[in-house]
Amino acid sequence: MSELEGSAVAVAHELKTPLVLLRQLTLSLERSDNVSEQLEIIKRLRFTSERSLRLVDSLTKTARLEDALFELEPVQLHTVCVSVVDELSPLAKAHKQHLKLRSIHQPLVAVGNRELLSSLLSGLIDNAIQHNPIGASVEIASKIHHGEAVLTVRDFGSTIDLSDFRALKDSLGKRALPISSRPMSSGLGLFIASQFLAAMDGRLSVQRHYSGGMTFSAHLPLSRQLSLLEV
Amino acid sequence: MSEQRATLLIVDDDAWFSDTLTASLDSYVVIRTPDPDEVFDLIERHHPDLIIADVMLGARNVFALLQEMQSYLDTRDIPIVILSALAGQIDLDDVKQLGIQAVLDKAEITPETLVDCINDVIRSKKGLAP
Repeated sequence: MSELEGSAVAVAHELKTPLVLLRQLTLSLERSDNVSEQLEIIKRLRFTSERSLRLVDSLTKTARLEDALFELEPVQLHTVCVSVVDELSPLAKAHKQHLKLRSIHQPLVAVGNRELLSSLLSGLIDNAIQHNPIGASVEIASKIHHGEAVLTVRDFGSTIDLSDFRALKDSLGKRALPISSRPMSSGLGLFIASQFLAAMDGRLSVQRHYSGGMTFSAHLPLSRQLSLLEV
Repeated sequence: MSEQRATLLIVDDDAWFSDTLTASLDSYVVIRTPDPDEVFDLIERHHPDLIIADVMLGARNVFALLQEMQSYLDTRDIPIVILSALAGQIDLDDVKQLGIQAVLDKAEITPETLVDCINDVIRSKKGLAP
């Protein structure tokens, strides 16, 4: 399979998942004669279509990366986190989950692009919500680590096998082919996140937890523009 | 006396998809789990007549679970219906030895086709004509 075919398959699979759910929710809505059930289905239709749109938006941005349309600037990570957490909290709540934000070092200014950072963080949180059990939290943190600005997103899903984890680590940023270790995902979301970070001179890393779940970390250069610390 | 309702075990980690399925299966007793590690415990407690499973489940795919089920005398005869967005990539003849009786595409099923399939598989298990 060529790289282009592989990408097309990954995109098709990634978009099929929410489309399948949209169709099924629509069928349920047609059958339902209970108003509160109908309202719940409509809410899920909205969140699922918004999720599909976020993916399409990220794919569009990925295609534009090479045109250097995304200028790098000092960005307050806490501000980006607050904005994305506010946007996705209703989605987490609809999945009976909670988004927990910890800004460990403040102010924390990284060099990046606000739009790409927001999309990247949205993608990571979205991915975490899909893998998290009901009642669990998704933990988002920003901190300074080894001279880098780091954004982390942790879920509490199933523990991943070591061999699957190694395959996942090896594939980060290199391809968007099916990754059996994180089903419901072809790995496309993580591939996109890696591409966004590369465009900002950053990188994506992943850790697994013995107690279950994964942490994805976005590493970015720290800004040295101290004047912005009070922004 | 009315016939006892069949028990179905749904194994799918997409909670919202699982909700919509359950709503359309009100003529059955439905047990659900997103976690393949819970399947053996649920089998022991509820004795399902049939398992409906997605292929991709959390950190595992369903085939490892089905292979394990085939290795036990008490679970190898439970019929399996695969319900997946990847159905087009699965040849039923290749997976029948895992107890899979039908492969349905999530993108194509309706409540009616799903119920028809479940009834056919259960009748077939009981030795009745579909």
